[in-house]
Amino acid sequence: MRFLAALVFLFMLLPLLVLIPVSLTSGTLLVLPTPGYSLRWYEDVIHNPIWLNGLRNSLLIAAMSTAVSLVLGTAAAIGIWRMAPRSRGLALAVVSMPIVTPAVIAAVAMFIFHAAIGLGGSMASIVVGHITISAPFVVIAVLASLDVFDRRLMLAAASLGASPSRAFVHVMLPIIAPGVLSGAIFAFLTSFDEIVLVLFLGSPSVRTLPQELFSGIREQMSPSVTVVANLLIVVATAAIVSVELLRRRTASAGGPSKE
Amino acid sequence: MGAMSRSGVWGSILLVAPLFLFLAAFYFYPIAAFLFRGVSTAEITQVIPATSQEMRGWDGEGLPPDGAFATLVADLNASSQAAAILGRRLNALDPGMRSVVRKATGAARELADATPADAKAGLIAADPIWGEPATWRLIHRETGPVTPTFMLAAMDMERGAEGIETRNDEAVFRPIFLRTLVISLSVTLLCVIAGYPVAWVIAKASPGTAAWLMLLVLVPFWLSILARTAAWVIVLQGTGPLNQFLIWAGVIDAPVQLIFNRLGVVLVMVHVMLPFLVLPLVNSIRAIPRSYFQAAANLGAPPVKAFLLVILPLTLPGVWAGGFIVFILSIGYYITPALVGGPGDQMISSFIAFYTNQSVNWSLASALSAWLLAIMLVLVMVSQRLVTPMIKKAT
Repeated sequence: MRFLAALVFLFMLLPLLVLIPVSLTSGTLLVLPTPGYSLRWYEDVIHNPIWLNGLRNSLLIAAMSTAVSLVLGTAAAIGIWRMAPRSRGLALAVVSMPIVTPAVIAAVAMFIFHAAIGLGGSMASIVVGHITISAPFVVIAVLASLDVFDRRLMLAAASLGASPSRAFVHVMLPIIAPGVLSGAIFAFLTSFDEIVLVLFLGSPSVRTLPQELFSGIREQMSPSVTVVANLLIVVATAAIVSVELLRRRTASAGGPSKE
Repeated sequence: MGAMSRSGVWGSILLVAPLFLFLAAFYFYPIAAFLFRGVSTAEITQVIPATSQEMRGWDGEGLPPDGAFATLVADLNASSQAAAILGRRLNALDPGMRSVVRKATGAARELADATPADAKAGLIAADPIWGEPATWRLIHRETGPVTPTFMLAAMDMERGAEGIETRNDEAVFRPIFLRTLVISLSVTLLCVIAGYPVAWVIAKASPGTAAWLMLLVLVPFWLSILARTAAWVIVLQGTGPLNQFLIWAGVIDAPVQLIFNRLGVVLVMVHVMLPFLVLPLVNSIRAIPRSYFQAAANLGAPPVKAFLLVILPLTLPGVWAGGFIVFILSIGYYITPALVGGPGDQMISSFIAFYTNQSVNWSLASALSAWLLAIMLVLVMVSQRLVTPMIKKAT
């Protein structure tokens, strides 16, 4: 079993590692072994307005959709957490629909709808689209941290005279903060890496980094493409490792015990 | 207590309302409206409103009254877009109708003030097809409240003279649905085969090791699919490391095609989907009491036999749960076949995209989406109602 598992881990990770030497090539072809190493393609990406513009749009879109997803998703998670188990399951199922529905169907539907309401081709169109698929991840992450939250703390705060909003800010939020932060990271990554909705909702004036990457892979695969792919992998890995560290902190610090 | 729980319920509703309203307005409504397009006739009834009205009063037998010809002439003259939209929509149903409509539009200008009988004669003179009942039956059908035409077309069926007919000779979409299911099933099976050992090792590892191994599964899960696809394109290309390795190892003599074909699509999709299988499976292996392994061993069962007879059946619910998610996500998948597949590996999602972007036939895109969602829904229901309880009972 161990040997087989090791093979599968190699299958999962090895392909990603080829991006590193290829992105450092001094040549123009995507071949291994590379003729020599240089940072020329990194310089190329840093000075290329197409990649920079895509990066700027992606960061803007991800920041805006994360902010909205965070507010909508955290509120909804607390609401769902307060529900009876049966309605909780139903509410969670509705919220999770955007995660399992084929992205192409949502993309085409939004493309037609946004054109009809005058959003077509704008950055707002992409932001709105991304909120619908990012917010569910916030709900799931915050719900996970609420699982270890002791309900009696809110009652205690209320009996001491705290208003619900004060109790939320001073009692609940500090304890569920790691979950909220994980949710924010997931939401950000979901939007930052998203490609299917963007292919339909984007326009020549609003192109995102994944969109440039998509055309790069499809049309002229150059070492710059691998540089960008590498950068995305570093960003995502850093994000996931921080989520994991956050999760461990909640698990060990734990908040009050849940008895 | 009663008052408090009521305020609790309202509090919950107020908290979930913003997200639910947002999703309703910007997610569920657009999808519902898009799916309705597949059966809607609004596109036609809006451009020829008076004719549509007239058609509703007609019984569909023979030719409509002369008045209908005059009304159509008036409709075609009333809007400059009418001809283009009507022509495109009817052409999708009956190739050749575009030019038929164009000729009628040309004739309509001269017939603006003609009597109904002259309008009829004029249209038939422009193209004798206007004198055929089948043409008017088509317009009659496509101006009703709803039309099944596109839902049928998406399954290679059409309404012929004797009810619904299946076009077996020129089937287009059923083979693609079948191909979608075959690719998804291969991806699922490979994920089960590859994911089982990984889940097993994670479930059996010490908590610390397990957490790090889990991270190795989770990181690829969150990595940009495009970044991973770029990596695979390099690995699998003709001059790529895999081909070099296979030649070096003497398995092959010359580079073989590993990408832009079915193999590439399945391989990259397995890479994308594997985490979805591993996560539920780890939980179900962890849930097996340690004593079961010992009991099997104590009774003298060889490890392989103990695994096949005791452990494997106990993990079936986890295999099913993970495999089911992989399958459901695979049948709606778009990006990987678009990037690393050949023309023969495109799945149904690609055709939904094609009919939206290239050949602007939103009604057909909608009908294909409706069938895809229907298939997913049936699978979810079958899984929940039949298979999951069956597995639970059997284990």
